[in-house]
Amino acid sequence: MNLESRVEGATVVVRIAGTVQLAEADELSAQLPGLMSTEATSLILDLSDLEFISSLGIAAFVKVHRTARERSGRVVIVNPRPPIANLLRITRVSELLPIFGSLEAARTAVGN
Amino acid sequence: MAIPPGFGVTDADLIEIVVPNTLRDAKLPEDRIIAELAACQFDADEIFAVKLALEEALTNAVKHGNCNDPSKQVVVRYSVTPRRAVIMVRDDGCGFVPDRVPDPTADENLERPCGRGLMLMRVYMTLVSFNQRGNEVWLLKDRQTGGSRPNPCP
Repeated sequence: MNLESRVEGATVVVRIAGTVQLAEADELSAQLPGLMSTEATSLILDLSDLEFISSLGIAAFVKVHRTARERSGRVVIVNPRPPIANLLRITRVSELLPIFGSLEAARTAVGN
Repeated sequence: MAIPPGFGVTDADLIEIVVPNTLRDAKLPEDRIIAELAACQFDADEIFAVKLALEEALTNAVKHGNCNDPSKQVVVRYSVTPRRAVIMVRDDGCGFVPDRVPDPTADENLERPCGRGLMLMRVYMTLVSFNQRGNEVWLLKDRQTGGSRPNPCP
């Protein structure tokens, strides 16, 4: 797993690449909330280069969604590959964390 | 310990790996099985499906069955041929009743962080079966392709 982030105003853009395999999902769960701050309360998860994630990783997304909402922020997803997008739809997690086809559209959605 | 009906393997077909009960150690059987799928020319979607179901089974065993206790063990038995992949994952726990797991796609459960693994195993695999105790899961991925007498994998 490779995780990079950058702050854009009130939003943090997080690029998660590679495979989130087993123990790495716990690392992801621990890292994601810490990327937010009092100023940056929304996350854009850029999954363009994410090849694999299981329900443990999805749980990390759901947890950070709840944290963001408590801080009046949002979490959205950008450009997942078809297998990942399908997984998010099957679990209905895409209804909590909407999927966008571009960073621009995601920025607009979170109001950045 | 018995192989459930419909999985199309015998004890002699199965390779066994026993690992300590940590997610890091669980990577070993996963990596070996995925390598065998690739050698048997399973396609990318099939490998994604088996990898996902296997991770769900391993995660359930390590975290829920064995309660993250590193002194316990996880047993994996598997057989991969060009026609099918069969995987068994067993933990030392007291098991669970699969039918009592709440539907993770129900509106009231969507925001729960846990509970999606069992549903995903059933969606992505051809057949999923638990023993009566509920501490052993069998996964089958049957392929659409493959001749009547497939060659063995390299």
